[in-house]
Amino acid sequence: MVGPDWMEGAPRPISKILVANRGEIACRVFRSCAELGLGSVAIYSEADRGSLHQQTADESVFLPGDNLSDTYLNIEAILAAAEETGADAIHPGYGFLSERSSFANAVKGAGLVWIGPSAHAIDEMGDKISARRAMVTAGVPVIPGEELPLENPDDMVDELVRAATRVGYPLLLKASAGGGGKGMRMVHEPRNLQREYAAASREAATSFGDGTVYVERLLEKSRHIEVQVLTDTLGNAVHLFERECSIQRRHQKVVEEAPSPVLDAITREQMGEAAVNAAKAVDYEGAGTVEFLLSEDGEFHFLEMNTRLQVEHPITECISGVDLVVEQIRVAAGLPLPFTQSDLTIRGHAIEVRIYAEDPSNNFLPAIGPLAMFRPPTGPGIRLDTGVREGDAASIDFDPMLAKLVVHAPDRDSAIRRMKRACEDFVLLGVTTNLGFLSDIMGHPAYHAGETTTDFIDVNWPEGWSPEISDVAPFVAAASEHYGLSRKATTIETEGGRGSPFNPFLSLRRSFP
Amino acid sequence: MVELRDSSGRHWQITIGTSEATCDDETIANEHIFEIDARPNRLWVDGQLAHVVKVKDDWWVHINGCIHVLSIDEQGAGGSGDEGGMTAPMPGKILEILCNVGDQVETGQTLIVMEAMKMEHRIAANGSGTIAEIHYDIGDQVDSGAALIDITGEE
Repeated sequence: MVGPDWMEGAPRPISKILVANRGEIACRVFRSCAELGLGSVAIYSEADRGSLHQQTADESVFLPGDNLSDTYLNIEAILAAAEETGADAIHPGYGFLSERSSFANAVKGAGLVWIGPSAHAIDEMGDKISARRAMVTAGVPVIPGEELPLENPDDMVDELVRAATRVGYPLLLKASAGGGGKGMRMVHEPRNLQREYAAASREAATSFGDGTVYVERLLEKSRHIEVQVLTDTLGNAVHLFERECSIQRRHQKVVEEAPSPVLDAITREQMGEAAVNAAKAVDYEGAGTVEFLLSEDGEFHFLEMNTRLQVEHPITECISGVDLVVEQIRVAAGLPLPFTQSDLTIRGHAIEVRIYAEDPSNNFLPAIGPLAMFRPPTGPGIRLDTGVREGDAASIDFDPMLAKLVVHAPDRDSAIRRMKRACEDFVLLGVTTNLGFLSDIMGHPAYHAGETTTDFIDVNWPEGWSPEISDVAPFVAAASEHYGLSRKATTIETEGGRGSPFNPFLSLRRSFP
Repeated sequence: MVELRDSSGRHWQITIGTSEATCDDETIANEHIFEIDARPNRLWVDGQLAHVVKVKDDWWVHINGCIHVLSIDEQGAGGSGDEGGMTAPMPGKILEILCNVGDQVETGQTLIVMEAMKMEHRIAANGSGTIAEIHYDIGDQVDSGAALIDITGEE
């Protein structure tokens, strides 16, 4: 195997990368592989047969089995797939095995290059309690409140109640191994404590195989601000500024932007420095994210470090001009960062929205259905990261995120206008999505004013959100039904033969009242 | 005539080529001008481009930057509405059943906890009354729209 020219002389040369993931992030990495002259290998489960990520990679390996533990979480099968295809490096993406130190160790143990931080850094930061201790030692400010690991759900009720009383309400129950909003529950009143604890513990056990949950004070009216860091294996470390990810529903991010609309230059520098210190404290290697809560008075506290590439990494790429996946690969190969902190500046403003198959007018419940039409917006400064295309379906098998729509513009106002236009232009039909809601966020005065706190959705839509009702759309639907305007002939064969199959020779037909 | 229901529950009766239509039995004007070209899934209305696609009995319409869903409604007005039962909002698994047949329950009370897409969802009573029937057991897999519980109301 021969790697590309630029890899020559690298301590750990890479020629072919297997991505132990699926969906948009797998596609994202495969595209960088193609541009870098590296081979790429996909793994896929039955539900992903024929998926975009399988198709985007140079080669693909099928992993049989119905459960994630047979497929995307199956370390043995993934290593076998790497051996079979001659892949010499593994990129974990985000989610799945990306933050499992046992996987990092297994990859290295198999003689492959692991594109991620060391097992030690993953463990230290993955356990929220040891992470807090490490941050206190490194002088990084942490959230006030009491730490209480709960290990056995049945014996812990009394202790939980006592700890909750000491920490005070409202509080947050968090799975120690959690993330992405799963295994995390807000408790505003003591009477809901046990019920929410049971739910958090169960979600954590299902999603992470570890039911440990702990109690933390909930800081309301705060902002979620995270700093991207990048370190190489030679001791160089930089930060790539912050992302503001405050707009969330069910503790999952919906809108992210970079830079933050509120951070001043001094706080930005302090946070950046704290993030670099946090990374250095665990000898971090590669791309990582240090999350902070910024309170109203301008103080910031360490929340956690994500030892992987983040979903929202594209906005950092837009404003910094750095391709994070490329740098991850270079760092894993043992190459030095090609820039220092003083080379980095913020260029313009970027926003990302996550398009979910869900119903924002009904508590954001996940929705399923075919992507009967999927026509993304185009134009300057628009990027779409997705793992689906027209004809695919939103199913219950995986996370309901369909795509990440990203815009980049010279300043925040024009970025917001660009994103609103992009949301409106997106023709995504056949499954309920949050596009209309995202568009309304972009049009909301509070968003324009930068009032993006973590309770943004609850504050601005206290009664919930409902879609705009149109008086024209029913006529459009009626005319479509009348003329049989559906592409699939089967869908217009209704009983009684109403509607005629579309006639391709009919070039123009007008209907006047 | 095409009968449709929009997402706010309004019932429309529209005949293309006539000048009037009804919305919730009220007569309104139908003054729209439609143009269709040789491409499927496209339609011009009053000079605006709309994208349309039909999935089962629903027409999905993208026009003026918004997406709308209109359901073909052959039942006529009053054909749908609350049935007094509660249905699964999505496919998933029953985790917990928090009531028994014969229980008195109140609107908003959590009756069932479901899991779907690795998240838990609470199914709350949509009215006050007595639990008449529970259609599933813990651990059962249910489809979207499956009736879970029947409540006899006290209206």
